[in-house]
Amino acid sequence: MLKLVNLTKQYGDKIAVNRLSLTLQPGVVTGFLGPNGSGKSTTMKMIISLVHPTAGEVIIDGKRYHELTEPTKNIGTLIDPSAINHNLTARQHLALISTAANMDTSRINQMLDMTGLKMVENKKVKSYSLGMKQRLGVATALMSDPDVVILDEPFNGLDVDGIKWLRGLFKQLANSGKTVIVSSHLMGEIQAVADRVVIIGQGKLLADMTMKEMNQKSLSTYVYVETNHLKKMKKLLQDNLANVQELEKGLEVRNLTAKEVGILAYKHQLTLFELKTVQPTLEELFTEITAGKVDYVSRGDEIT
Amino acid sequence: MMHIIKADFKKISYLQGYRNVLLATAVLSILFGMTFLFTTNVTTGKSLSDLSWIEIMDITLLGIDVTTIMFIIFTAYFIANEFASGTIYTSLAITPLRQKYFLCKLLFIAKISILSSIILTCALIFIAYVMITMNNIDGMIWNSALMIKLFGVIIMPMFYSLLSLAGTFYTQTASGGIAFALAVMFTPALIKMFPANVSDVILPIFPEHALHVFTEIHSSVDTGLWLNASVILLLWIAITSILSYWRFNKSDF
Repeated sequence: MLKLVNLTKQYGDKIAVNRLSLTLQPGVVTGFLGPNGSGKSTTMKMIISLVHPTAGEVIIDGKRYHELTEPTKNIGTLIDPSAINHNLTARQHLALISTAANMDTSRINQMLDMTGLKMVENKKVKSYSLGMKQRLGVATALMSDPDVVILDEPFNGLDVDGIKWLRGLFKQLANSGKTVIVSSHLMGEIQAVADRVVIIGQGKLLADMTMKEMNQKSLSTYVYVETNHLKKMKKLLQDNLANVQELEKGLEVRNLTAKEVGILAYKHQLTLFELKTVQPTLEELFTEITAGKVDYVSRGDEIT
Repeated sequence: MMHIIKADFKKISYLQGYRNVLLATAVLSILFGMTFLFTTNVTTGKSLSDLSWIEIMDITLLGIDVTTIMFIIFTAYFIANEFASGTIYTSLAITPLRQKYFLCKLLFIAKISILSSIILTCALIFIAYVMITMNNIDGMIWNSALMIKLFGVIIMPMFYSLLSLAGTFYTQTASGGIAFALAVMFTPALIKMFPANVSDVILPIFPEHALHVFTEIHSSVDTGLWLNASVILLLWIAITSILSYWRFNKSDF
């Protein structure tokens, strides 16, 4: 089990990570979301002692990372796919990792096969595309068959086949009881693979929920209704303490369920054209939660 | 710890750039040693046959100065490449104990530099020996004074490589490591320009002076002098290593 306790990192006046506490369970894919500069990478680096926390700690099976006797057996990481000596081949890179960490060299072939790099194993990394480097980074992270797998933006640069492969791999790793932590800006990908979502903004924990909870409890969930008497329906709903917003053709209703709206319409003999519960996408939720907590915002002005 | 050092040796066998630097070190050291030997007419005004065996040995072993400079460069690039390429992420993920990582690099550099130094010193001695024999120069004896000289010659590349390592870890750049080691190596030349009462006080604290205690042939055994020189060299390594480790340990990557 991986536990983050009041994890804090401060660079001068800027607090990159602010008292972050989380417990990451095995068998679960956790999506780690946050805008640029929100502290995702810093948190990941603090887990493996690349960055020293200003306060708080990371506990892995009761120990800190640097106290582990064979740390790579506990945690496998992909922090930066380009952080490889580009004059090495994929095979040589993995051979160096296995020698330094005293791992079984038979895993090299397994990893090359699994990541689809077997065909280019003897080509220098400098000739690889970003997607191929990502695959090599994943191979490096999984070399020692670790209990916890941490991958920072692993979908970047991957083609459709690569994304599909990675999705399957995450599910497979979680099913085999591993703790999988994936950060990404690609909300759709996180939505497709994650069982749990952690959102941070300006270093603070903004949301920590399962995908199921997100779908059920989200503030953004509303009921959309279209009827023949929009004004009458609106008044009726407001009388029943609903929060109603008029849209072009229908109403956006909060605080009441679709069932309750349907019963009200039936009782007052209103014809419904459409009645549905609208659940936000992860992207919409992310935008809503991180509103005002984004460090870098583009102005969106047109270039003339 | 041995696995990490083994991986570094493996890295040299995999990467042509490192192999080329080591090959260039060997070629240049021998080439310069021979050049110094065959230009004594110009540099000392004497032909080879007029020189004593110890002078021939001294001149040939100047090739090790080239080894030293090449190893300063090799060490700086070898260490700095980890920081520049970002492979430090993987290295520290494997070895999160930074003192262990630092010590492994220090031992690796010490090993490879001393090994190369021994091989090249033997090669240069062989060249000097051939010249001594060809010119029928008598009197060569393998005494303890010569052995101590050879010890001093062999440790010189390792010593400056470790200074380069310290400088590189401190600045996390190759240029920083090279500049630091070369500054320590050449500053005594500047100090010698000062009045004797100033330079006589400052020079003994520089490693060049301590290394010369070993590399010069002494007529009598002076254990105190050698001990003093050893302490100076060890202090330089210890202080620079501690400072660079301290800086490295508090760095975030």
